[in-house]
Amino acid sequence: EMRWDMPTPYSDSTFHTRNIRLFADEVLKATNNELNITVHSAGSLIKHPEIKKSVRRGIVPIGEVLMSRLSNEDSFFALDSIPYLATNYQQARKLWQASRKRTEEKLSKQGLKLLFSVPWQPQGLFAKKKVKAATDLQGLKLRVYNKYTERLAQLLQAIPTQIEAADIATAFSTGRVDSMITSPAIGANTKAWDFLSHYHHFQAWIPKNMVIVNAKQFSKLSKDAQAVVLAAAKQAEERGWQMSEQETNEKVAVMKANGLKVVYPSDKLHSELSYIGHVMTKEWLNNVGDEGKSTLAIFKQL
Amino acid sequence: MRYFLEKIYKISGFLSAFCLIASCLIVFAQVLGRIIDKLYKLFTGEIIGLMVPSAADFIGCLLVSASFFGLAFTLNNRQHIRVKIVIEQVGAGWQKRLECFSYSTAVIVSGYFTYYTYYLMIDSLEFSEVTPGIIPIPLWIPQLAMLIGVAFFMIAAIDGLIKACCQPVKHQLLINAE
Amino acid sequence: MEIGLIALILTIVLFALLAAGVWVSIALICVALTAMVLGSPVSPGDVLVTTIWGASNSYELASLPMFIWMGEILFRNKLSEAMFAGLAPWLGRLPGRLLHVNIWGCGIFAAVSGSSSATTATIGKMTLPELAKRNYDEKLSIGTLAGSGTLGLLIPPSIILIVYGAATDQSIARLFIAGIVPGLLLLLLFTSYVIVQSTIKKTKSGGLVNTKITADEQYTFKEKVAALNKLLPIVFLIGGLIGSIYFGIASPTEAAAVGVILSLFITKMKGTLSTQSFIESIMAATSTSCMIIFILASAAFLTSAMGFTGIPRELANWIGQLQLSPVLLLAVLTVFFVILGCFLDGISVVVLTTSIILPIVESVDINPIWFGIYLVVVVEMSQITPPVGFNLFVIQSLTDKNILTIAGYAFPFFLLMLFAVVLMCIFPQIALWLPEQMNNY
Ligand code: NA
Ligand code: NA
Repeated sequence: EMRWDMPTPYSDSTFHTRNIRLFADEVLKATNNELNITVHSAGSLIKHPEIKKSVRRGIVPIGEVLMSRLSNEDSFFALDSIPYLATNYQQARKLWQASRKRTEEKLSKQGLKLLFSVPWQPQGLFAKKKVKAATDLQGLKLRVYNKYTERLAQLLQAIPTQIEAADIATAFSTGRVDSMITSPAIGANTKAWDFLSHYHHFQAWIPKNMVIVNAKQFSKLSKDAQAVVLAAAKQAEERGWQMSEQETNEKVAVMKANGLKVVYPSDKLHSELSYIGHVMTKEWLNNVGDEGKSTLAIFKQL
Repeated sequence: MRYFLEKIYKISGFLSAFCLIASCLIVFAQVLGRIIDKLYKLFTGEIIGLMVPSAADFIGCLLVSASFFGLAFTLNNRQHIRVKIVIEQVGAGWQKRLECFSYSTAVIVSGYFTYYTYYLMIDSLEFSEVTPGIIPIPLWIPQLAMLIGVAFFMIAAIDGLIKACCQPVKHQLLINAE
Repeated sequence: MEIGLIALILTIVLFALLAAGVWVSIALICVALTAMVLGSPVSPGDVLVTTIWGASNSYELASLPMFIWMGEILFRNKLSEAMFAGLAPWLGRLPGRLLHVNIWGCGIFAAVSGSSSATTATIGKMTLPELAKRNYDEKLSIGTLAGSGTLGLLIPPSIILIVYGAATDQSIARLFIAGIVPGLLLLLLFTSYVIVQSTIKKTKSGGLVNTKITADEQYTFKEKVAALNKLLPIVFLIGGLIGSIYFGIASPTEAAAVGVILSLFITKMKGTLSTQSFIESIMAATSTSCMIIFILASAAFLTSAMGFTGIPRELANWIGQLQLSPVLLLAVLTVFFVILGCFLDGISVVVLTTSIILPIVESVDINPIWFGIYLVVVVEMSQITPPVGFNLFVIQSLTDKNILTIAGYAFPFFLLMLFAVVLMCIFPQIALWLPEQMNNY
């Protein structure tokens, strides 16, 4: 029998964590207790910033990471965080199909094997007021956490504001920030209605988490166990995409029930935002060059 | 040799204090930005949005540096916390033995720590790892600070071990009464 | 190897190393290394550097050295002395007198700082020398500090409530609000204890305070008003600190830098700040904080090592299988957390066990917000239990007293917190009433 410790960054009730626990159960059952994956959620074993490195160095054999966290190391990983490139699940699936192979190649250069990748929900804007047009965003303090969200804030003429994840509730309550862009799951789980009033279903982009495994440790498994893990991973990816999509409406409903006003953007606002997406896609292409071009070409053909 | 060692402790303390002051200034610049913004808004109704990009990342790196640089200085000043109940009760001979044992443990742990910190840093360099924020900070830089810090700490521990073992038994009481 | 046996070995190793006088941080690292070697196939060295790097590369933790620096500035430039001189005439008739400064000083400072180490170190730096100078009973002055310093965790802002909220998906805003009333309850319990103790001791042995000082008890009204003047700088400082957070100028972490700059400004204005006192304050802050952060980081490594061995997980699972009634469950959990809290630091206890404990707790219909507050009070108790209690370490670095003595002084306050836990179990509204008022928001 073999035990794999698996650090994950998010809490137990997050659908990503639930999906991963199901994956671990399946592997245990299908390998006849040969491979026992112990899930350590909410950064309890290793914190998010150190998870990828720890898997790469073999400190833990397997782990979960937000893919776009790697975008400073390689801009290619920012692909799923470009606004208005892929805004619904169908498009996001295609974008993932188009970029998966290259993502796997990049990870395998670091001795990592990608098992599966599951999306968050389409990103929406949480704010303390209703945003009807792009001009309403001007001068709004918008939470940014990387180059791309900062650029987005600049293009929206909002005020880029850095707030640490742990500080979000306090920062909103004391007025250091007015708005943030995140998924309905995060909004509902962190009970955003305690400090915010409006959720705008912008569907700006669909970021993904990925589950990676140390290639060396993976090759130490028996051939049968390897096949089981890969099959379970495939299933987990499929299930994860469904859970994510299914939860979108559920979580929006939860927020509504708790008094958060849900706003759908007008066509005008949508086209204004799409233009910004266009600008950012161009900038991204300038950053990554040919591999970006070929990936987007595949994406458009799908 | 003693001169060289004293120099190391001094540098250790100085670097640590420098990092603490630097992080304090960054944070305060951030706060000042917000105050100016508030005042500006009061008069013009607009905000400029002054901020130090990636402030939290810089502060995190400075905190690591401050914490590790200071270790040697603090050990040399005998300010690291230990439980002295037994050491204060036993006779001078045992005091010397326990003192040597404690310093040996510190030497082994800090040596082990230094060795692995070196590989942590080399790994970050090799894979050019950076922070995920607005300004990418190469991780090897604060990790180098950590490496220097634990290496200094190891030197201080070796120094302490030699002192503890070479001191004649009757002087031991004085050290611990400090 | 059997998990119980590993736990036993680790306990023995920890006690042996600490008794031998090995530095606390080094001892914690050794115990964690032993745990990794015995209970996990992973290379311990890599886990050691990864977790210690991750724990010390932290924005939230950055307020600790700055607050400690602030305390040093205030102490070295006679500001704390002025504060006591200003308060003394006003507290003359209250049994326990200036001891209450410890309690309420910590309470007020806890509204600025999210950690108990920073609260204890900053307030203690100012109060302990002054109380000693005035011949206050050491037992009570150290005890009140140890007990009230833990309130940094309960009164918002609180790092540990953020950790609990993030791990369990509870509203951090609600958790913060829920901590206020229990925090005040503890303050009142501590105050009452000091009043009762001082009254008893006075009748028994002619005074808690040295009789020479008793003569100073009589102040005219004029003197009292004049004394207020001495309080102005400290009121300005506290107002600036709390104001900076609640008016949205600084985050709780940033407030520490505001504190440093304000205290430098005040001492400069008063003319007491000199280059020498500046250098002394920064060097003292440097060594205290790097020592505490190294222990915290070592404790984070121990947390990870415990995660790899699975000891706390197994224990929590075992409690879950007992199928206890709510009251019995809470009783067992309290014992479990107190024992775990003897060896691990508070955040580790929360991080390692909530994933398993919370579903058990929710299955018997215990409110998760209430449970978070309960957990923090229990974790507060762990800050003052030996051998691993952060408030004990901080106070040892302030006073050079040994840990067991300090723990003994703090023990009545441990019991008072236990009493508060019992009260919270009987009247859950202590924690829940205030957040329930938020529903209309
Ligand atoms: Na607090
Ligand atoms: Na303890």
